[in-house]
This record gives sequence, structure tokens and C-alpha cells, in this order.
Amino acid sequence: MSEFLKQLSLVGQAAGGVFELSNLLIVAGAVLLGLVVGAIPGLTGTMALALLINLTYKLPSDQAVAFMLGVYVGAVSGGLFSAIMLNIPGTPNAAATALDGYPLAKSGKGGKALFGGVFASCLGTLLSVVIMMVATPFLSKIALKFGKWEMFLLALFGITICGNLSVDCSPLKGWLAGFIGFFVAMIGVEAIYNSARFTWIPSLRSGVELIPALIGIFGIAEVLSVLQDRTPFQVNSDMGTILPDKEELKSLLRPLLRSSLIGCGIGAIPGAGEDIAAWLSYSTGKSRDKDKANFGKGSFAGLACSETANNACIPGAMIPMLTLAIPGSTQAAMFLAALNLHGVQPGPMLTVKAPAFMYTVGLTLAVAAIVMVALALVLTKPMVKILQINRKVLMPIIVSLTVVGAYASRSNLFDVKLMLVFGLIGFFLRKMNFPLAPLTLGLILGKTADTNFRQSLTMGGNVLTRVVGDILLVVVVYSLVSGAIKTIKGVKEDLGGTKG
Amino acid sequence: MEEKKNRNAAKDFFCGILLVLFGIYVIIDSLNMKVYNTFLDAPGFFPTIIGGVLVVLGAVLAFIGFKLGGAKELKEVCNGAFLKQFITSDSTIRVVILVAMMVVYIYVLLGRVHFIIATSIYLIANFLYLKATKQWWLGIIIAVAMSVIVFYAFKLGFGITMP
Repeated sequence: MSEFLKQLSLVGQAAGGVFELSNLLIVAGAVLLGLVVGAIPGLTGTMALALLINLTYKLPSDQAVAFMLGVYVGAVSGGLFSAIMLNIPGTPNAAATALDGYPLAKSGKGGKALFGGVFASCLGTLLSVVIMMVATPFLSKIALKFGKWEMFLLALFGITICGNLSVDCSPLKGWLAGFIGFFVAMIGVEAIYNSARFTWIPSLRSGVELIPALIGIFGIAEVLSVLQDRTPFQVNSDMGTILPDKEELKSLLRPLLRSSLIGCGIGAIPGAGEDIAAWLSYSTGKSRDKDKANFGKGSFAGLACSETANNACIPGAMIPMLTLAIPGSTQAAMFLAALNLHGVQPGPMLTVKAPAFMYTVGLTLAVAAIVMVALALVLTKPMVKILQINRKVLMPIIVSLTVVGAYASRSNLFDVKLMLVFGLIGFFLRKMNFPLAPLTLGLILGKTADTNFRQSLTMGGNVLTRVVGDILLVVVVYSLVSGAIKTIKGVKEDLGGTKG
Repeated sequence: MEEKKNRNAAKDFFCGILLVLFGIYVIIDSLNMKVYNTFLDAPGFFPTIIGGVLVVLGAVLAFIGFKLGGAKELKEVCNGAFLKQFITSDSTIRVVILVAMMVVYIYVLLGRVHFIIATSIYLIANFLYLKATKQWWLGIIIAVAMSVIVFYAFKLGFGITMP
């Protein structure tokens, strides 16, 4: 009982900050910015966070958190505008949305589809926030029992499971991307002996800065991919009314509940992210929903499946990020980088050092989701105009913004040069069909894995006698075995296809 | 479909070989790092493992690519008309030119000339090359205006002064 009251007082403390007028206004502005950036084809949620992180450098940490979370929620949902109206997902996580959203738009129900999508996104976020706020304190208590060996295994688990779940490629390539990320994290002076590793030029002694690297991987690589493709697109201007009727809203109820759980669960898996959540939820709906026959032909339930899940993934991704400092998605990785920039260190000690922070995150996400619905009511029709922005004008301007973003964190031109290098690496890996999420995770977790692994081996005692560690070891081995089986199956299928 | 599969196999074979070579370099460099106490906590220990994993997984990737016809496809790609077609294709040329403009902007112009001038030059070059605006002068106006806006918005609004 006393624990419950303690948590309740922390909620109250967090609410005091979140509901301050300045923070509410910042959240509203951030959601709008996120929606706009997410709506533009080629600009992903990660890129939105990478570009807009610049704006938080001079903000106090609570306002910076409010801003980044607002952008995060807005950007994940923003992708539905172009998915529905253009059949081009603005963000990868809105790809499943286009399957039902575009047919709805073609039949003159674009307005309803847009609002229904935003509404589903809002409820998905809210339900997932509740799960997050209940689950995180329990997980934090478990996380406090983690030693160095367990932290190493968690980092390893992060990239193996992330590799396993990568869309459109084999787990093998996901693991390779993760280990490339690990390698990049090794560059610079290491933590135990202050010894320099792989410092080909003196500027690399301080290591690879996370924010310029992420801006490069997601910003520059994205710009090159978009400008490489010359495909023009046309906006379907006949939207019809915005508010769905009672029957249509009723059909959303079941998929909303189911997809919230799927989204939150997938979000909590390191690096899995919104894309996987949306597709998994959509395929589950397609096999189980009452309206499954209409999936792919313009079903509101189908639309709700993907949109609910991709937004429910956001609070889910916060669970491992806040308790273990392991981001659940690439967007969460960007948010983690922003938190580090503002001196907030997520991880097992967060609940001890800043116990109300988790509730601040949860309540801010909830506010952002509600604000998003209000904005959608007013701005759905004008938002469609944004889709007509000329990408040939926009993308070069974005390059100049990535330059500012990379430079601003340390006022160092070397970071800008590094960003371009990572942009080219990201573009190459993309062309070679390597997933970028495990690479990001490897980059973030590399130092944790290295230091904890070496220290755990030299601290004495048998690491294999620790129960939590043993459980994690089994999980890592399981994810490796299941990934290997998946890879072998894929190769056998391809070999069958080649012979046939 | 079959052609795409073969192309992916060639990519896998090529990347696998590249990763094996890179992994070997990582192992050699890591083993040359100083051992302070024991090898288990030496700075080169974990990178040696990373290098080893890259070699093993890279070899597996190359083997899979080879089995799926990647080596044969890669040979054809490197020898035949495809390479010429790839190099002279519209999208390859576009990417090379766009990257070249980024390199000039970031490595040559930034830090040597003012941010507004560097960015204006970069944007004008891009707009003209991509034929982004119907009238060329409109591209120049947008480029200069955006450079000024970005510079002053970040300087006055967020205290970030670009070089």
C-alpha cells in the first residue's frame, strides 16, 4: 500500500511539471512539427528527431524532454498522411497503413481515414502509456540487480534480437550490422586504461559522437535515397468528411485493444521498433479480425491495426530505455541521445536518482497523443497541402539542417565531416540490404558491452553461477539459434527458387 | 524477380568478402594493442572478438551469396555491359554528383567561408542541378533566403552560431 502511495505521489509530482502551460505549449508545437516532418515522404520519425534535436540545445531539460516526445509522437503518426493520400508511406512504419488507407482515400473517405488513423494512434499511445507506467517500476527493481555480466548479456541480446526481427533481410545481416555498430563504438579512448583504439586521426580520440553519426545514418542516407528516385506523385484531393460515423468507430474497438498490446510488447524489445509492430499487428488483424475479408481493400479495422500498433510502440520502447538504457527503437535511440545531451542518464539508477522521470515521460506522451487528435481535427485538410512540397527543394535544405544538427552538439566541424562519412556508410549499407536499427543499437551499446564484459571476466567468481545472468544467457542463445534457423530456412527457400 | 534475387546474392557475396577482410584487419590491429594486466581486460580483447565475429559471419554471408549464385553474378556484373550500364545510369550519376556537392560543401566550403555563403552555394548548385524550380532565379532566391533564415534562426533563437 505504501509503495502504491509512493508511486501515486510521484505521478502527482510529474503531473505538476507536465501540465505547466509552457510545457503544454511546447508539446503542442512539437507534435505539430512532428506531424509535418513525418507527413513528408522520405522524412522518417528518426530523421525528424535528428533534425529537431537542434532546437533543444538551449532548452531546460524538462522542456527538451517535452519537445522531443511531442516530435516523436507526431512524427510516428505523420506518416499516415502520405500513406493514405499518396499511397507513399511518409515513414516506414506507415507502410501497412497505406494498404487500407489508400483504398479508403480513393473511395472518397480520405478525411475519415486520416482522422481515424490519428484517433487510433492516440488511443494506442494512451493504452500503451498505462502499461508502461505499471511495468516500468517493476522492471526497474529487477534491473537494479543487474551486474556487469548481465549488462553485457543485455547489450548482446539487444543486437541479436534486433537482428532477428529486422524486416526484409536475414538475421545474419542484422547481426553483422550490430557488430559493425559495436566496432564503431570501439573507436576512441576506452574506459578502463584510457588507451586509444582505432584512432586513425587525432580527432577520433574522443570517439564517434552519437548524434552526428545518427544524423548521418538516417538524415544523409535518407536524402540520397529520396533524391535518387525521380518518381513524381499526385495528391488525391477529394477527402470527404473527417469524422467517422458510429459504426466505423465501433469497428475500431477490437483492433485498438489488440494492437495496443502488440505495439507495446514489440516496443519493449530492444531495437524492434514501430515498423515491425505495425506489420505484426496488421498481419494478426488480417488473420483474426471480424473484418479480415476487407483487409487491403479499404478496411477501417486494418488501418487501425497498423496505426494503433506503431504509436503504442512508443511507450513500449521507453520501458527498456528508461530501465536499462537500451532503446526499443531507432527513434527511442535518438531520444536517448537527446537525454544524454541534457544530462539525464536512463538506466537502472534512474528510479533512484530521478524516480518521477518515468511518469513525466508517460504523462507527456499521453498529453502529446491527445493534442495530436485536437490538431488533426483542425489541420487534417491543410496538412494534405504539405504533401505537395517539392522534394527537390526540400532535401538539399535538409542537408544544411543536418549540418547544423551535427555541428551544434559540440560546435566542432569534425562532427559535421563525420556525419557525412556515416551518411555514406548508411546509404551503402541500405543499398546492400543491411538493416540500420541493429547498427544504431550496436553503436549505442558497444561501450557498455565492452567495459562490462572485460570487467566481469576479471572481477573473479564464476559468471555462470548468477541466476539472472544464466536466464539472460539462455535468452541470448535462444535468439541466436532461432535467428540461425530463420537464416537457414531463408537460404533453403532461395536455393529452391534458384533451382526451380 | 530471379534477376533481383541474383543481384542480392551478388551483394551478399561482395559484402561477405569485404567484412571478412575488415574483420581480419580488426583482429590484427586489436592484437597489437597493449596488454596492461591480463589479456581478458586488455583494450584489444573485445575488439578481437568483434573482428572474429565479423570474419565468421562475413564468411557465412559470402558462402550463402556464393551458393545462391552471387560469385557468378558478381563476375558477370564486373565484366559485362551491366557495369557500364550501372556507371552511366541516371540514378548512379545523380548520387555521385549529389555526394560530390555534399563533400565540397562540408569538406571544402564550411569553415573556410561563412556558413551563409557556403550554404547558399551548395543549395544553388543543388537546385540548378536537380532543376528544382521552374525559374533558375527562383532557386537562387530560395537558396540565399534559406541560408540566411537557417543561420539567424539558430543564432538568435537557439544560440548556435555556425562557422
